[in-house]
Amino acid sequence: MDCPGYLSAMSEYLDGELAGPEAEAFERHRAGCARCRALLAVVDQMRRLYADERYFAMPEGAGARLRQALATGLDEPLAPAALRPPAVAPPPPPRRRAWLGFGADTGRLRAVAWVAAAAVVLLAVSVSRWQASASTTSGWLMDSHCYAAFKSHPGDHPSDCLLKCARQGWTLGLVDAKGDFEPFNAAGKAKAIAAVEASHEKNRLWVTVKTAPSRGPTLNVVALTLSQPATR
Amino acid sequence: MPETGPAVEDDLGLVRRACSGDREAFYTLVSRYERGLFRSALAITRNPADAEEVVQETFLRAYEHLDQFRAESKFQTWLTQIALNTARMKLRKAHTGLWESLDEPRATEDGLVPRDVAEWRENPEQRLGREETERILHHALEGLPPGYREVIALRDIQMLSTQETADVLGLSVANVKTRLLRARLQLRDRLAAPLGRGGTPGAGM
Repeated sequence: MDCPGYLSAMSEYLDGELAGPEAEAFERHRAGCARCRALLAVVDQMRRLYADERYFAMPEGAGARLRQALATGLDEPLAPAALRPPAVAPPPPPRRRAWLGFGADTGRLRAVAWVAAAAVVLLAVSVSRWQASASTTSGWLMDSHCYAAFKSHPGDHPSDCLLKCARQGWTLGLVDAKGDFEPFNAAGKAKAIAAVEASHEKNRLWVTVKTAPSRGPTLNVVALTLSQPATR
Repeated sequence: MPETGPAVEDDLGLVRRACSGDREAFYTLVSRYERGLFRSALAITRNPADAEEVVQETFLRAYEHLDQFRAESKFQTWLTQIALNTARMKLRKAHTGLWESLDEPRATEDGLVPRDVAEWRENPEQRLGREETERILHHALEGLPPGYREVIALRDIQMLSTQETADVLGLSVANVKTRLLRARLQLRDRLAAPLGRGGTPGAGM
């Protein structure tokens, strides 16, 4: 009933493996056979729809949930040291760490690093933000654990994930306009947790902080507000 | 080997970087394949929540076993193999019924072919809209036996070659072809029944 002579040719035709006289014979059969044309049309439509980004999209928030799961799950085997919870003091962000040239993780070395950093700060006048006078900075609120996963879309990072990571000891900070992570000091972290707990935002945690001059690479947060991101 | 312009980095390069601890490289792979895996997992598990879990577990497992990836196969094929195994485990745990009950076709009493399938002809999406088109296609796939859904997911959704599909499923190429043809014929009968009966679009109702 189902054009038996042409069914295997049909598969090969669909798979682009039919050529020469066989292909021509199949084309002739197809022209007169509604059932074969229907089969080809169905497969063709199905392939086209599944290749179309607009169809069968992942459920809303699935991308963010995937990255959240990965941010937690990937940690076990291969987490970069820079993103692990701090053992002693909050680690400086990777960018400045590289600049200062300190990679070791022990508290003792870090203390040395702070002294060295302070010396550099004293010398490099008006280069770094933390020695500027009080200022205001805005960005997406983020924890150091999820920063890598959500770097390209920090607004999607869920609030409950942020709170969980914060309680587990990860540093909080903001993702600035350049996409860099700027860590808060302990007071800033506490203010941020309180603000997120008081809000009902599930994500899109846009934060504006007033900072005082700081002696370390963390933002010395004196005031913090959660708000909607500024419209462009 | 000089690269031309800001070329898209190939999978193998990204895998190597990810193996040496570069998370960003792994996230690039995630972005590259998450949608395709989701669609295949949806076709196999028939349930968006399960499909989402399959995608998550697939990437977690892939990361965990990244050092076992052998460069002679395509990364996509390897990833699909993990996804297939994960989806099969989900199906085995089978709490099916929930999704079906939420998405019961309107006209199963008509027989094998839901009423709205009569609408599925040329470019259905242009007349039916996205959600309706998705629903009809999803429903047609949903009714296929698991083995048929798998072969469609790999060959027509993931667009693996027949050989790659055979590798992932552990079947011979000839077996894949046979199974694929049966699956596609069933789909045709579900989606294009009125045409197949040689009657007018309404004749099957």
